[in-house]
Amino acid sequence: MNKWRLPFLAVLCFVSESLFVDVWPKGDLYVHYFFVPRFFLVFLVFTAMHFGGTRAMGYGFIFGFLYDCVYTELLGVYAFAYTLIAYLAGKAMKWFHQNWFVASLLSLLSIVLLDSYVYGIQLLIGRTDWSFSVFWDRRLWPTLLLNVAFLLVFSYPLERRLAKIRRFEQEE
Amino acid sequence: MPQLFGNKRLIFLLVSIVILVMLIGFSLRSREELTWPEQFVKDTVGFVQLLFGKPAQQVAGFFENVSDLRRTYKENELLKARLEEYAALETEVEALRQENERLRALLDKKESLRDFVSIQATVIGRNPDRWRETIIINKGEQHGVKKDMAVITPAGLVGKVQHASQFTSTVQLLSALDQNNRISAYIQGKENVFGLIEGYDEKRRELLLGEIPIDAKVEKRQKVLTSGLGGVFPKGLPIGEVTEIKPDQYGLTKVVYVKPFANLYDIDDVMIVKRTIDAALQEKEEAK
Repeated sequence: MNKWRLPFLAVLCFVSESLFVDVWPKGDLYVHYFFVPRFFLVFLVFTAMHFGGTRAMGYGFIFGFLYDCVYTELLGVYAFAYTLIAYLAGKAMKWFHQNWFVASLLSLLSIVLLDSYVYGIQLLIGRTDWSFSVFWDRRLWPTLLLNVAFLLVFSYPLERRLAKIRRFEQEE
Repeated sequence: MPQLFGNKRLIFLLVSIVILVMLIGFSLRSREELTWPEQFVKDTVGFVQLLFGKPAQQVAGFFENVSDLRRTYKENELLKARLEEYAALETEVEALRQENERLRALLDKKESLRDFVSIQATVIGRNPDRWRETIIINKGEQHGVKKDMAVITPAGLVGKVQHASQFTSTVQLLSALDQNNRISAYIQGKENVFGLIEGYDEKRRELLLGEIPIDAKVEKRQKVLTSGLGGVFPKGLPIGEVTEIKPDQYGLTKVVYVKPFANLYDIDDVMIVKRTIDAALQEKEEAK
């Protein structure tokens, strides 16, 4: 039972991204600005802090691949990025104090990294002709804003939850 | 400063980048069908999304209902006014339909590009990163959905099926149309003018209808419908209304801006449209 707790949380974060966009009211705000939920990435960074980089990399690869298959149909893009970010987050956690504030900051940094990287790929394969400043105004800022709001509400509960799961696993 | 990557890891990273490039190249080829592992993954995730999605959508639906309530009175007045027009229109449509059937019987022409059957579907997910606006719906090949079929809401055309897996499919919205996915359409008038829907103007939120002869007569507020030529779209699905006519950059053809009837963003339930003439043709071929 205990070993299913972490995967379940991962699935929840993964599915909630798509649901969030589906439920978000489709007004002018939705059309003009791109609020991209990166809940799974936040989960990934927090997992790297609690369970180490190797395990986070596994999650990153599997769910990144799911993301590619199901949503973007551009194989490999997210699988690669999630795995790399999990690795870097695991490394970074060794240098810093492990607390939820550091993890939150690292999550925001990874969101900037991930979104810039995906923008670069879209530019490379010619699916977008946005200049960097347009990307900055219409996508990066709103995305960061949304995820800061998410972190404000959920970073502490997520941290508690993961700490609890870790305790459960250590008891076994 | 500790080293970020060891030598072995650096090589591993480089190899993964090469694989990444290969995979992107593979996915960029215009594919007829997804590979079966991809289909399997899509269906499985679709199922999970359905599990989580139903309660979430109900909660969201409740809030939407509350905000709808405030508008109800105004809308009701408007609808009452429309109702009388509707009754007159309905009798006219019925008369025309009967006449059409009689004439068809005379000509012994049973199938038409216009006839279609529709498959009801619900949106179960969206592409969260929105680089390409796609939605995932809960009907797939097992229900008769095929690649390139038209997807409509009661208001009008919203997109086409990009890929169908067994139990779910991905719909490419009109707002994400690219050069490779043009839709043949015509402008309704005394003389129908044919063109191709070539893209989407994001600023104006309107579709671009191109390849229209420079001497064609097009006016504002004329209706644009699918032509049923090429592909598997039936004829006569409403797309939108002409708002502006411009010569193209070389001055050889015209470009027309079309305001879509359907809201291309707020989509909950859709219908996938299947042309009956294709089924009839297939049966004939099989009979041979």
